Amino acid sequence: MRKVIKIDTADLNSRKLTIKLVENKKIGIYRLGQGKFKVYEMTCPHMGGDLCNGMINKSTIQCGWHGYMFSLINGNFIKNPNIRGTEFVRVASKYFDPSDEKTKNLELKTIDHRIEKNNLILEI
Amino acid sequence: MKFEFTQKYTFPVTVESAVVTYLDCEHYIFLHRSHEIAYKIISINEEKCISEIIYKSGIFKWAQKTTTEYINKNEFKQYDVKIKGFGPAFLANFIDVKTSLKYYKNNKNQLVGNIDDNFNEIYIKHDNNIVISEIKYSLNLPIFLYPFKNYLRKKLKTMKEKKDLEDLFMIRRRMKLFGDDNINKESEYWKPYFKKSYFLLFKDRFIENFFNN
Repeated sequence: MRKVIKIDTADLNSRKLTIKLVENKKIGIYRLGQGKFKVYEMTCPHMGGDLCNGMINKSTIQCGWHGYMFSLINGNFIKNPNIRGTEFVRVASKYFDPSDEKTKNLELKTIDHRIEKNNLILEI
Repeated sequence: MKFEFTQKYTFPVTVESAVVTYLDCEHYIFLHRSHEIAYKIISINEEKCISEIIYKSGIFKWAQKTTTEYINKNEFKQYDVKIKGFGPAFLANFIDVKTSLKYYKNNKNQLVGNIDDNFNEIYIKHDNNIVISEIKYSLNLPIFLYPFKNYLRKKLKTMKEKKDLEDLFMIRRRMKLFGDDNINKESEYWKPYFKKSYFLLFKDRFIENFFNN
């Protein structure tokens, strides 16, 4: 059964990621401004790292396990920092295809929400 | 002067999981970032990989170039360790370090460290098939460094323990999220490693070794 959670938007700073523990689930709320929010699950879509231990820099978050970077504005995958400097050894083989890395379909998992009277409402 | 020692403790996951974590080099400088700040592969072929890791400890920073060899399906060797940079680690240039690491299922009665109990020794019986991480260090020390052999042993052991604890934490996290790490190509735990986009050192050999049937 889904539970309705209310969070006062006054507690959420603009352009900052606020991390909350809701129903044993870590979520990150990013205030975009003008009453718009993004709510993310704090689990890395790459390998399941805990993004709460990640590095946050303005509008990006970098997982503390493999360093994969995501946008907090839209949840999109930005880059795998490990590629830099190792391109020449990332050559195609039977089980690896470097061209696949560029089309990696990874994005932060979002949580549906709505705004009601200065409250962010989540159904979890 | 030769100085050899062995470090042996439980690593309670499957052998496959322990090996893939070792080969998953993209996590080295992020998960183990308290010491390692950059990782670069200089060359790689089917058996050997030459890599460089930049370490930082306080005001000291140094680069360590190492050759890693994937010997058998569950065994690695490291040698040709070369250090450049500033700090006490430079002394390692006077030391010839070789290591041999193996992950295996226990099949004998023996005393080993327990990773879940601060590495205190426990007695395990032959029928306890828990996975063991066993690393043999072989150091060739110049005479002026020989008195520091026990200090070096402690440093090397502590560094490995810390890394393995960090790795075990992440493996267990994945198990909690995606199910156990028993060998199964279709399981949520293993699926990501099979994506063609997933980079691992010696990936083809790893898959052929463990998942070829």
